[in-house]
Amino acid sequence: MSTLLQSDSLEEITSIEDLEALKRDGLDSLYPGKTKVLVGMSSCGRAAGADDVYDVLSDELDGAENAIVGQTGCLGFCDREPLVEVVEPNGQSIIYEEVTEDTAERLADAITRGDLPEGGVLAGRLHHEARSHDYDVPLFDEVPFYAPQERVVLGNSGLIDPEDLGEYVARDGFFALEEVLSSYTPEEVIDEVKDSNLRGRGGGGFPTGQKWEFLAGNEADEKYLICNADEGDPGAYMDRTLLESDPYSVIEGMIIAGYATGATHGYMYVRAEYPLAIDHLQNAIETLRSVGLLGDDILGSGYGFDLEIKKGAGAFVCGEETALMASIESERGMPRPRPPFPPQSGLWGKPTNINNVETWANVPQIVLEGADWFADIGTDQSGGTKVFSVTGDVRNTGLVEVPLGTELETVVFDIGGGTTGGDFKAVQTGGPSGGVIPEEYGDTPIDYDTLSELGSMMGSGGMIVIDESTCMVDQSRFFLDFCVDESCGKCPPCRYGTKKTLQILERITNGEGEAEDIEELRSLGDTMGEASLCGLGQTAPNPVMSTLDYFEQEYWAHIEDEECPAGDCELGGGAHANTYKILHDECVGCHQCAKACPVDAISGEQGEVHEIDPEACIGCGQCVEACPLDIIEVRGGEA
Amino acid sequence: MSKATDADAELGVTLEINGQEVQAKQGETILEATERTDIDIPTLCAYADLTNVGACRMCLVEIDGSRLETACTTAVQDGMEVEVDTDDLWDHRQTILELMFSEENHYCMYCEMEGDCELEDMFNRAGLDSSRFPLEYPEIDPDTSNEFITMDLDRCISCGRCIRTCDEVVGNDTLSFGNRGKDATIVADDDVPLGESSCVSCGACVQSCPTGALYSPLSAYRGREEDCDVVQTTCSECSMGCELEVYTNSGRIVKIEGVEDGPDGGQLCEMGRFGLLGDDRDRIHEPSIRGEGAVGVDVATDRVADLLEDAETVDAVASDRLPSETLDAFAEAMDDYDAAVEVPGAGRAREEKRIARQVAKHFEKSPSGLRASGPRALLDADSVVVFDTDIVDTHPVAASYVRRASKGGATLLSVDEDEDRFGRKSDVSIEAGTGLDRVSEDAVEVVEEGASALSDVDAETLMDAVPALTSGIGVVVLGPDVSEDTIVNAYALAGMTGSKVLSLPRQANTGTDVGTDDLHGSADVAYLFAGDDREENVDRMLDVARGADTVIVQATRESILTKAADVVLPALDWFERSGTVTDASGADREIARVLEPRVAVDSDREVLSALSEAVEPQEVKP
Repeated sequence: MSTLLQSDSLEEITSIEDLEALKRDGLDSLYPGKTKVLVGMSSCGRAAGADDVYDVLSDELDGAENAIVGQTGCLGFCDREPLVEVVEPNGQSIIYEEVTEDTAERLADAITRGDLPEGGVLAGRLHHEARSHDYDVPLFDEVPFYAPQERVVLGNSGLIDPEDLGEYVARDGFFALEEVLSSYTPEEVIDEVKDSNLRGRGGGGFPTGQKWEFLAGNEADEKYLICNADEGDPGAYMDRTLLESDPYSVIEGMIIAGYATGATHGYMYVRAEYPLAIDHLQNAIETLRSVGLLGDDILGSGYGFDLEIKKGAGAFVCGEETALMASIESERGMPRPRPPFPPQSGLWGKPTNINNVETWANVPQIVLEGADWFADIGTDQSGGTKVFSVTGDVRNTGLVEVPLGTELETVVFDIGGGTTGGDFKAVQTGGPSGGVIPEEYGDTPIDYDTLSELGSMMGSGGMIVIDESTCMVDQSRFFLDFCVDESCGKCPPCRYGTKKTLQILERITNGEGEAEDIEELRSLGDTMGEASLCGLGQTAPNPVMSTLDYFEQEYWAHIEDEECPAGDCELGGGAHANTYKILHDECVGCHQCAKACPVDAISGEQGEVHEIDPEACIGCGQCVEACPLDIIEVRGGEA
Repeated sequence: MSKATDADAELGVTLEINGQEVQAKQGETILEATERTDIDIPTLCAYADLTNVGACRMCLVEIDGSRLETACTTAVQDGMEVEVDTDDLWDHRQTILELMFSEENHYCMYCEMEGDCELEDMFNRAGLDSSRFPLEYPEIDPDTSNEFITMDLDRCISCGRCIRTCDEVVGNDTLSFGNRGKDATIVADDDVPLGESSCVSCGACVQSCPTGALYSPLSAYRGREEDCDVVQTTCSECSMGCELEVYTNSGRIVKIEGVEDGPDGGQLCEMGRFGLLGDDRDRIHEPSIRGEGAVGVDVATDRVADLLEDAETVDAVASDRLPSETLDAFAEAMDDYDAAVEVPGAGRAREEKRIARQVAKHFEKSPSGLRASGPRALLDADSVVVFDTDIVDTHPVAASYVRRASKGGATLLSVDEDEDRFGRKSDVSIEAGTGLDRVSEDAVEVVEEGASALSDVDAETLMDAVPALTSGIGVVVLGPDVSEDTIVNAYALAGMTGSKVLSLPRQANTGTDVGTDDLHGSADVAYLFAGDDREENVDRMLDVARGADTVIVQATRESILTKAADVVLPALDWFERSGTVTDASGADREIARVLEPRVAVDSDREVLSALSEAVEPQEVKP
């Protein structure tokens, strides 16, 4: 990526003066005095074609005197990717949505001419010192998707180049660390975090300051900090996006915590399926080492901290902290009973503190803006904001950051733009560990405790909107299917309970349910919830238990009336009931369908008749689109 | 989690379990605290001294009226109120057991472990005789690739006891979990058949398995434990002297196990656990004389006494597997005939004593201060040097202590002429003759001259090795096949570094004082007391037999030696003998009679005393 500042040309940073000098350079990079074209290049953007858009813009504007092209992270509105923001020298900008190679070419022309089009616009934005906007476009803060949001953690996402330390520093990056090292005692840092009411963003919601205090209170020759970036809930991608878009903020949070707790070594446990996040983190770590912001004697304080990445090999259970530590130790990723808790005996038996990506990223902001400011954003019980990935039956999907205490309906209707296939029915939070919150609780302020009281949980931030077109039994079946695959197998309630529960749910969605099944589901759920070893097994029945609590009549409709009210599952003949079949007589063996299949469910050599394995097929419909002869039939429900 | 509770710690914690006041030690688990009471917390995955992992969930208890925790992993706290047997807890246990019953093959009537199975007991205790869930266990073919151990994984409850045993007790790391979730299973190495894996067939996993998932085909279906008589005795396969628990049923040995709360922690090796079960060599039931066939015991002893009496020179050799009392009787009887008596291996103990004295004097220590207290000293070692890594085969239990020490962080240096049998577990592998085994030989000479004279030594190796030995507890292991030079080296190395020598001679009975004469070489009569020595161990006796005119063999089973004999006398098998042997640590261990002899003699000593009695009063030769 072309950045104005190359990391290898950075000078060592040993004082606040060095930091301020880098900030000036970073501001020059962010606002270079000519038009800056920013392409959102996180995974969501790339998946939508941002790479090609970037190439077109770079080619077209190569050598242009009035414009420069750069990369940035995710601006949150994943539904509208690729997003391109054109920032004019005066600080006003226009964000274009769903940019294609064609529109990028036209956009480049317009930029060269100095006259920006007003079509295909998501919003306009005011940067830096700009106070007004010349174009007739809605402003960022007025767009319904963004208006209720408060971007604390995501403040840099979609603005800075995540690979450019200077641009992070331009946004006051590492000034929090400098302040802490120069004028806080470790106890004062912990007090500040405690006063902020920051709670763990990984889902549990444990008060972060208190957790740090435990670690600080345990003396040891070595203490560890771990960043848990093993995000694995289906539909959740907050941590990935944050690491891709603003890796330095996470690291800065960890160094501050290291100083506060006496830890000197950190691990970033990132799932290997996040290559871009790992790239950006690796770049950040190497850059910080080269300028001395990681290593011995950071900013002349005498305090030293270093950090390394450990890639997770694709196990959901490794997001559980004891399994995660086992994995770092090169052991099989299986949970251990707690106590001992990590602050007593964690990684390699040493005191350890584990926080989630988003938790770490909040820390510099708390130091910069103050604990009171942070606490004021949220509720009495929890300070700050929470990032959610909003998906499901909702018009606007994307990454959303709202103050804690925001009502669920605000997210579904104002930000999400309402449902897509019928009346709003429920919100599923907490992924496979969480549950549903039905429409009648739509005015619930989002907080750890309110969601738990309703039988769900905050979770790490997955939020799936469900409308009347989705079958609640099928929804539970989906999550149990996930848990069956992800159970480690150590304890029998989870090992077998998930399987038995899934079988019953499959029976019900196939129209073969029996009256006793409901009681069986509750009994199994009770034992799994109470008797499983770790959080995975304990929470695996939650999707079932909470849909039973609120939507038991849907289960009975399947069992007694043999119908799916949502018309969705196998029984209902909906999308989830589809079977895909290649018409053998007409297949020419072009292999396009097999190439398109994301799960390799299609077999057949080039030139031979191809076949879809119904067991492996996930019903995504990619093959139908790929087939040049239109000979893949969809049977069952609607495509 | 740690089992390491100070044995002497005060009972300073008071808690309530099932309404009963229980005194406990600080740091111990709830489960450990109940071991001093009659409260029986159900467990499946907890076993002996293995790390507790809380996997099976049977020991979930209710603490302070709210949270459920596993008693095996939760430390006691003052004032804690624990309930073990609430209806809720038993409901959960029942559901879990029913799930196992449904997802695993627990048809007891077809299982080898029926009657001895902990899972079966747990079903009974939970009041279950069926499962409300359909039976859906996958059919998994038993792995019979190992001749001593069968893995029948559809009976496996994934408690992980075998894995932890292989890891923590045997130090071999052969077994581990493979796959995950409902497909999680036990695999050997990278999921290869057990018989093709790194398994050393010690059978510790079989002993720890609570169900019929791991069993020995040698013992299978030969009777429940309650139908068996059990006798404790001592293994004679090497100098470790491991305690055996021998199960017999209807006059047959059906199973051998280690004694968990005994001095060896319940460990045995392939030879002790399985090798002793399957001796299919033909038994010698009665005496025989070449050309005459079977004869009575009296006829035979008379003939032997005559032959011995008539001989000018007699060479007598006895197996070092025999109890000290038998060896003493042998020496006494042979002395009556002026025989030269040899017990192979006896010389080494004497030689070592001499060397230890010399070296000790050099370093101003006592000879006993140079010797390790016993093989289990390895478990506390910070560094270990092994001369002759064939102890992996000859002393497998000691080898597992070495591996455990290495896994626990001890530095392991192996010196061997051939392949280093500890492989990757060794921090340094040294070819014999190139370095470390010369260190101390030189060292003895140079202690007075100064360290600079260690010229002939691989200096780097020395510098690597010696600091490791000098810090913490060092143990220098002497394997069975070491030269006298190496023995000198080992003791000198120990003297130099403050380490202790653990000597592991091949023979079972290291303590005998008898049998250190020089043999004539080509005597008129050779008297060879082979006992139940294995054929591969009788080379020395064969040599002696070849040099002699007349050969008398006292043996348990037929062999190349008995074929060469003029007179064959019957002898007891290991399980018929009684007496004592002295193990490698110098301790006397009891050999107990497991089964009554089924041969023409009731004891070996009876034959020997008959020979003593037959001797005519010595005439003083001119």
